[in-house]
Amino acid sequence: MIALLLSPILVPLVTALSTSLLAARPVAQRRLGLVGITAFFACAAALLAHVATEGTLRASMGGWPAPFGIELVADPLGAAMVLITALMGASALVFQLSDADAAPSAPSLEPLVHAMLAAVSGAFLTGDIFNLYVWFELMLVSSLGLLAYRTATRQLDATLKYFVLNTVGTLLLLVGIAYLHAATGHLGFGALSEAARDHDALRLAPFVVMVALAFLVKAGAFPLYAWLPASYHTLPAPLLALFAGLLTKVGVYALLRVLGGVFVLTPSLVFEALGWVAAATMLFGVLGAAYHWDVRRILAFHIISQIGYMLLGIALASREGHVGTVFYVIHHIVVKANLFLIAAIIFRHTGSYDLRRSGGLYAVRPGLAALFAIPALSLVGIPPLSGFWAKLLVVRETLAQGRWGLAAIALFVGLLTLYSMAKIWFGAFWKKHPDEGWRPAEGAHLGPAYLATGALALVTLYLGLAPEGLVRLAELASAELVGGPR
Amino acid sequence: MSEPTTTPTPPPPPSRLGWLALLPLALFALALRAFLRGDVPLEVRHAWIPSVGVEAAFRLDALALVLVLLITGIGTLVFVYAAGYMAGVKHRGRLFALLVAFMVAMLGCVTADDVILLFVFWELTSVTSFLLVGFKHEYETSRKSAQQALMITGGGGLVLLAGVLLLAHAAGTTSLQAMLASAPAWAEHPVVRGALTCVFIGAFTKSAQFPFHFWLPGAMAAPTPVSAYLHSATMVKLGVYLLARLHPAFGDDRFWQLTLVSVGGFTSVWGMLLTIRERDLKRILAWSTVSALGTLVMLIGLPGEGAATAAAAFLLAHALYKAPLFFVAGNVDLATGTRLIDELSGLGRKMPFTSAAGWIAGLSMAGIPLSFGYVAKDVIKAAKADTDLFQWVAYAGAFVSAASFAAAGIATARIFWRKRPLRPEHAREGSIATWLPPLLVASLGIVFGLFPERVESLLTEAAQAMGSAASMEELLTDDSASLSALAMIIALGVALFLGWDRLHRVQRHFRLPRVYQAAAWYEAMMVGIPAVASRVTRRLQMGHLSTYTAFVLVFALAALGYVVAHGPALRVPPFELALGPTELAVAGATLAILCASVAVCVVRDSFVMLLVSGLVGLACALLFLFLGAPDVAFTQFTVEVAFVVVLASILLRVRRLDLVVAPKLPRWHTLSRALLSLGVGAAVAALMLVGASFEQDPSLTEYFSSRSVPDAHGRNVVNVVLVDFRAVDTLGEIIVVTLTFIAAVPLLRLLRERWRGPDAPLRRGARGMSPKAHIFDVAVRGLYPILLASSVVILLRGHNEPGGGFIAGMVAVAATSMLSVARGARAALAKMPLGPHRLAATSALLSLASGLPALFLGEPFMTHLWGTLPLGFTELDVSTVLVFDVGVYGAVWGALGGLCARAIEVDEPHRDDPSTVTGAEEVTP
Repeated sequence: MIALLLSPILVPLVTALSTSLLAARPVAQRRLGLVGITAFFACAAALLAHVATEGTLRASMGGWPAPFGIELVADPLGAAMVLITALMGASALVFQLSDADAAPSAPSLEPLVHAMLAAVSGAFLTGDIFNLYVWFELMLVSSLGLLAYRTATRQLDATLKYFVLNTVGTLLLLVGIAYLHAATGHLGFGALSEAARDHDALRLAPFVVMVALAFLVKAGAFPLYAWLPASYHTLPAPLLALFAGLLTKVGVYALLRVLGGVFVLTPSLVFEALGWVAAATMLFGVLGAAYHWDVRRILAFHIISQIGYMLLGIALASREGHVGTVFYVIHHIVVKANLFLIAAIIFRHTGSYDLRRSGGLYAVRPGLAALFAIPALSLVGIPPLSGFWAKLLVVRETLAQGRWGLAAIALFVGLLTLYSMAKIWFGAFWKKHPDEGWRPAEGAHLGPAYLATGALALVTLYLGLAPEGLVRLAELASAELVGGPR
Repeated sequence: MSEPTTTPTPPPPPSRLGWLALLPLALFALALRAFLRGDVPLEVRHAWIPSVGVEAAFRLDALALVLVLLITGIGTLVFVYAAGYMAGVKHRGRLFALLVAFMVAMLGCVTADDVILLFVFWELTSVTSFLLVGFKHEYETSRKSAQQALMITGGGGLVLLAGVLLLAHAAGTTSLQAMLASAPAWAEHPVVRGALTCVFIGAFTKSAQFPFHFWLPGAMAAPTPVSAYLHSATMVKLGVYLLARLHPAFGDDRFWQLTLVSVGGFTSVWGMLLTIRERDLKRILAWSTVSALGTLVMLIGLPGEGAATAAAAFLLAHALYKAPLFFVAGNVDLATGTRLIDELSGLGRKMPFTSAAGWIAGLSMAGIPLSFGYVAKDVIKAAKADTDLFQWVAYAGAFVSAASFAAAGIATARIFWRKRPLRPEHAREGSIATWLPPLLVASLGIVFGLFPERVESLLTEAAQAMGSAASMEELLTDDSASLSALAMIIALGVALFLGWDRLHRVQRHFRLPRVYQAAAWYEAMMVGIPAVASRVTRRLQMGHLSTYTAFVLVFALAALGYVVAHGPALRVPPFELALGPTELAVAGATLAILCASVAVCVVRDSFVMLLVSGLVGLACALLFLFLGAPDVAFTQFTVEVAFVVVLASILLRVRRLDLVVAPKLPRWHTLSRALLSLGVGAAVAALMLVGASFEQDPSLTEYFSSRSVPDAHGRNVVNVVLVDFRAVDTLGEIIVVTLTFIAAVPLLRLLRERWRGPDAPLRRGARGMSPKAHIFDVAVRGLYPILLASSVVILLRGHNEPGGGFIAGMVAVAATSMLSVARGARAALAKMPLGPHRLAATSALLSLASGLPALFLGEPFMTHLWGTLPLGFTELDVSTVLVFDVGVYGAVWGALGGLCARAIEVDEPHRDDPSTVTGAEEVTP
């Protein structure tokens, strides 16, 4: 069982290191990467199955008992997040086999991707705040590597912004952890949570806020999100899908873990403030989406806006709110990654990510239009797709708490999201292609692309039509969250 | 069909997709059978999402049945009509698919007995409507109309969601029946008023009530079958249906009555006034639909017994005359290519069936006796008379009736009957699929008019579902005032009809100021959204990294300040002045850190800045040393050196390339940044003092020091923590280090290769050195093995004395760096076992593997195993700890050593042979 608990971290780590040893043999490297991701996916699925039936799995590494050694914990939340991570990795690597804006091959590509997956898994499974920091660091380094490996000027510019702003966040996290340790003497989530009970919550609050700020930077919350729209659009599609699907959500996850679980006693004024941060994140994010014409930039701003909803669920500081956030996060990862991947197929056909220079796809590629519509409508929150239930859970709790202002903003942002998504629909699908002689790309190698996006669309459909399972899981996850993963 | 046509080609045969009509037909038959057999109300319930409290509950009562019959009945004919109308049109298959989807959504919506489920279908009708309105999506106007419909109904849908959620919150259930049954218990809940407002907005947007009425005529961009089906007969009635559904709970509420009657009444009058402005046949019909919807809303809001019956009757009647009129308009459009009433006349002879259908439907619409429209209007009048409360409503009703009369005349008499020159000449009847449906529906209107008792039971039951109980017969027999009223209305109607064109010309002088036009508001919103978005986004995402960073820091400071301000007063730990040698040393190191930090901010030259920042690090190392942490100090020291080496090499290269153009910054910029830095520094320092003032739980440190020797077999606690207690952290870190190298290689190569200008002056290489360099070279050759050997010693003794894998690795890195400077990076890299990249990756794998044996023994990962290996002459202590630490050593050496060497290589001269630039072991494609 301990092996099962560890496997989602070790398998991608071993894959990352061993693919890097195969740097000189690209074909073997790619194959090993596919084997690795398959194994990762199998392990993650087995782990979630185990956790769902047998309950939370925990083990203290090195055999040193809980507050002293580093504990790894696979509770329903963590296990579910790990599975979704594996799903994202698999989709991205399958998509990479197509020729729709795939990442140019390079020896460092596979190792960096798998290292990033390992880091994300590690962040989801650790029960120790410093260990969490280590995984954040690995995530930062591997994402920087992926941003920069093509070394064109615009990528380097993006990398610099990503690096500096994320490093500020990482430093905040490190300092916050240090102070928390100084104040409580602990690093494990369980021990921290117990220690927090013995201390005056208001005295401890500045340190918790410091850590929370770091996670907000990672999550891309207002006004800390500048790194995201400055960098994401420079990535090739499969990597972009991975970044967009996973990275910001690790921030949300960590925030949920810390504010919703470990330091659940944090004074309400913090949550009050977080609510308005969430509202601003929604609003300014979607305004960015309404402004841009590049599909990738629109979708990148949508991430921010949607992060706002997830933060709102945390800010509500109730079990129902947490259920909403958990559901939202999982739904959103699938949908967002899929949208970026489909955008790449659109790009392959129309020749541009810029909506002003694309079009005509609805007439000639209705299947692609339908494929796009599933995640797009889901993101907007149209029933009966997954995004609707996510939004419903969050908004319902907001209304139940009588937070009218926040609920109104959440709904208004829904309208603007609809507006900006319709913009993509008009630009890429409905309007005629500005080039008269335009034809969709013939002979494009899109089989793997359709396989990956189709599978993700099916997940979205399933979560929309039969959300009961995920809602249950989210309830289970939130129930274990409060009181810390002890 | 026997009519001779002026054009040679016969009408295109109907599309075979028309057979899809059998689907709604079958459903229609099923629904009818259920009603006739008295199975209504029917209920089906399935658990769907119990955790959210949503049930897949459907309930078919008389109210739902009226709509189901409409949806399937009109649906059947719409499918048939579409087969004729869309014959030969590209992508008609999509239209049919969407129509089927729409029909399913509609049926779901009117039968749902769960408010959330109802909302699900409600939104689906909006989406399908959007896709259908935009069917001719190549046209900008089509897209605009579709967008308008989507934004209005979609936005209304969001508001409705809030309303529905609030209602469910107040009622404690999502089941419609349970909600209505328990209504008196929760109708006073404080959120109900707000919930109703939201529901109103949702219903008004869907049913095109003022001020959301303008999207409906826009939606006429859709093909005619769609207009007839969605935007006249069924979808737009959803809002009305929802209000009717909730009527039993709120019918007596004053707020409910006033809102519905005033909005509905105003819409019905306003809609009719707007028909006069139009010349397009379809738009005339659209505005009269808006007016009819207003009438329906008003009827629901009217108190009294008869209103509900009237609403049910009019709902049916309107569908029965308006759908055929749309079909007729479509046929005219097909036959003539125009829908402008000025260009049409005398079509009756050319299109006998269409004109017959038009006449019959027109009679209904005009409210002529014997037609069902007449019966319905009669009922309406009686119902209105029933309530003394809203007398003025009767006048509005009279006007609307008269205007309907006139509009019906325009839509029929004028284009079919008027004798004036036949235009256009080539008009002809289409295929049977185009004229049979309107004829059938319209005739049904007459049949019901002749025998109203045929539908009486259905309509009365439907009205009962709305909570009122007057039978239609009761209302019909009470016709004391209705004949004279009818005469008056007809007179007014004829006057309006005759004066139509004149009125049209007159109204052009009365333009509403844009402020009062709802459509203008919408347009302003559609202009405003991108404008505001552009403003805000360009201001927030302006592209300056330094400003972004300032955002983050300012926000962090503000957030921390906010929390601290609300917290208890900060307690700074008591400060005791003690002067011993340690304190003096610590004070000295601190002073050095301070001075160096200030210097970093003040110096301008980047190279000096780098060196001074290196000083900060070195002073930190000293501080650690004085505080009794030699391991940490040593690590800090070596890392700092490596950092300076890497950065210095890169800086040298960058300078040589003349890439850096430092912008001249304004004074306020520098000042504000300085203030911000000071603020951040002060906050960090202050919070540290606060953190130190807590009473820390010492159990962790005590545990580590007490268990280190007996259980972890190591006297150096720092190393034991690194390789044992928190080995997973260390594993993560060495992988970070390895990945850093992998990630950095492409960048360093870029720096080395991309800007390889021919005029870039070459630095002295290994050959042709100055005497001084030669001495250095010789010295390093001797030093290299010594450093490596000592690194191995540091590695091996690390578990008990200061040292360990990380520090040892850093010493090896220093050795490699020195060798690179002296003899060139290639030489140094070649000396690394396996090459840097493989060394790092293999070592990291080794460390990882050292934790695995425990798993086979059922112990957690990284549980270290100890044993002794007898060698005959002595015993060797072996453990997985050592393996782990060797891995750490190799990873640090490989990755950071490689990084240093590669960085130094950046500024080395190139050799012409490209194969020598990149070694085989390298991460190079």
